[in-house]
Amino acid sequence: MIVRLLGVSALVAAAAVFPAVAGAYPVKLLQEILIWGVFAMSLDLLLGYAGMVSFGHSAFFGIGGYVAALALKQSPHLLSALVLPALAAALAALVIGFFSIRVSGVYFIMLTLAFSQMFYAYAFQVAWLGAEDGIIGVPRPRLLGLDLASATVFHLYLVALIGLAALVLWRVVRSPFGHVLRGIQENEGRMEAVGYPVNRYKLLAFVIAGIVAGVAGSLYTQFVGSITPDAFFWTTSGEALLMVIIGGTGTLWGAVLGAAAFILLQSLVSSYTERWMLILGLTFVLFVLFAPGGIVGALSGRVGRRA
Amino acid sequence: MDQLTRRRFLQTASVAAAGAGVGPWVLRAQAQSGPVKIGVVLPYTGVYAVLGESITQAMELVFARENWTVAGRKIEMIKEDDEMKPPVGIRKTEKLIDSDKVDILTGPVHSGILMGMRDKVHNSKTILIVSNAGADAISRERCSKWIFRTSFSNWQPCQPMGGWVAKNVSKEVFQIAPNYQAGKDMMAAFRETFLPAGGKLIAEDYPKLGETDYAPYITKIKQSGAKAVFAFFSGTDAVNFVKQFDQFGLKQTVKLTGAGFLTEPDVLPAQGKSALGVLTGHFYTPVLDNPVNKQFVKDFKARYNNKTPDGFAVQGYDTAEVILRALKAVNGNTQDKDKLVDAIAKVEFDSPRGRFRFDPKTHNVIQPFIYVREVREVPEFGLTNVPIDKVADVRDPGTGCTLPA
Repeated sequence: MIVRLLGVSALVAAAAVFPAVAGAYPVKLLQEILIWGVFAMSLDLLLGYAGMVSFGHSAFFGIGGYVAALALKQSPHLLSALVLPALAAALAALVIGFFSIRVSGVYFIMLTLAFSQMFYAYAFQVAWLGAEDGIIGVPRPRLLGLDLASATVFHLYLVALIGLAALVLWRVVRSPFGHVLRGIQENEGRMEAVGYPVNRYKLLAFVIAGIVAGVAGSLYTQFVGSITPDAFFWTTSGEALLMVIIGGTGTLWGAVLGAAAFILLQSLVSSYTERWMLILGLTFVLFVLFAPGGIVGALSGRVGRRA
Repeated sequence: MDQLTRRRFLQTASVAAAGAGVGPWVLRAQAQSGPVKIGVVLPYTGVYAVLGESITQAMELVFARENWTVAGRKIEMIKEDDEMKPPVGIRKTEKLIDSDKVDILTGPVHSGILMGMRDKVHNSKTILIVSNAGADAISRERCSKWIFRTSFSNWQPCQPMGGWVAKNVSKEVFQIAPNYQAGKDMMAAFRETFLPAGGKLIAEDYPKLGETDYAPYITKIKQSGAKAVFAFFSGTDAVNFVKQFDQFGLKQTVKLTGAGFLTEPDVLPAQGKSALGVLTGHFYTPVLDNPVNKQFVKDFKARYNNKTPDGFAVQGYDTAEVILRALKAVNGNTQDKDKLVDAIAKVEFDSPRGRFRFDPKTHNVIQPFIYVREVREVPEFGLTNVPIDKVADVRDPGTGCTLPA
């Protein structure tokens, strides 16, 4: 336990001092990996713990991103940067979850997908959200007298928040609540028979995942300074699913490794060949066939065991 | 044994992958001086890869003509695939600026990517030459000293068509475009000259982007009694709309006009004879009768498997010409960026589309002509857009742009 905590703190510290040793672009890549990592982790809470395959997780990423963009343009403060996006994502997750958790399997996938695509279509068309160009020129917030426009301060802010989000998710899956989620994944009917209000648990998990995804979306807006309707598009959900599966489902930190693998492949390999998607596809196939536990599974030696 | 080899394989593979990941930074760091670096952010995968390809091919054609050297320096193109996704396009922009330290940046196709990269480019004082994305804002309230555009603003091919249609086709027009901002902007640009010329807007309609069945809209057009339609569609939407417009027999009674993208070479083969007679406004067509264009079409066909160049290729051609001429003017000195910007703003030459020059007020291209083109079948080119009239010197109003700043 202590060893693990020490290890995690060492990793966080390493991420925090990374800009001191690396150039601007590697730092940008690391920041993007961390943001997508948090987004993928929130999806892993649903996919890897509660067994809910959501194909509409982009809805919360987009809502967080858009609410942050609108609010930050009004007043660049903490409230706009984190509180409002989280609240909006929570509300959306409550509504979408209320309808979606009533069904499971393919129907759950289709329903979540449909909800996220509705947001996409809306954001793509309406002028007050900037239509297909999205919202641009979003300022970074000022916190406690610190101006996040400075690259170093922003990096530390990102690392701290992302560490916090990871800690929250980690506490959630370790709690009795998290164990109930695991139970639901294993055998939903049995959990219900034992007396757990399964739907309420699933809804709460959905909302927590939605909030964290919303925060990730907000951080992304602050990172690039703009947000476009593509944030809502189903490919955003699809990429997060890929990250979780490549990294290893049901492990949380696997999602971050998956995000790292995905973004590095996308950014570095594609500079050399237009066929980078082929390489990504092959990687995915190899992982599913030979390392169903993802990167985490491979690292802990569970290689070759079929799912 | 079996287990062990697989594990070994994965271990070796991950070490190799890590090496491949770190390698580029180490290698790139060593090559700072020497060639002029031109960063290209375009889609090279997905549906829009054909656009990225056309633009790139024409750029390479021009650079190859100069043996990839300008003012004694080698030209190096660093191509990045933006996948038509803003997050990826922005990340690639940052890579090209921060890591590759390119001297000049060019691209993208997607307006969302352009708007997303705008602040990064502006704040880092990187010279960007836009080679497709038509967002009007980049020539207006979001213009920048550091950003030029060789392609068009969405306003440019539409605004001149309004007056022309009112005068030469009909004063009773039905407008139709996909339900998104660019579509609505183009329709508004058309009305700017259509209404003052005495035109009457019978009705307008906005089907969803990616609509496949235009029957209800075509019925509406028929019942409205409009004598002409002004439409903007592109890609598969353009194919479906133009074909169905013909299949419903409207072509005989209602004249179809539109923005040039409606019948560009990327959709024309699929539209086939349905497109015959459609009138569109655009700054280029391969049949233009000027020596530069004739040479360009000949060279392009010779180099790329008899492929006829399109408007996108001309955008690439002009981008490369602008880069070459500006670099020659400053003797290959890319350090003094202010001088280089001045040199780019002053570039003027004969392009396949006519006399090319930038508007000093917006850094957007002044279209030498917007050609009114009719789809016809001609011997050498097959189905193509034949210019029947033209409007000269079309420059974006640049409302809200405060250049030179």
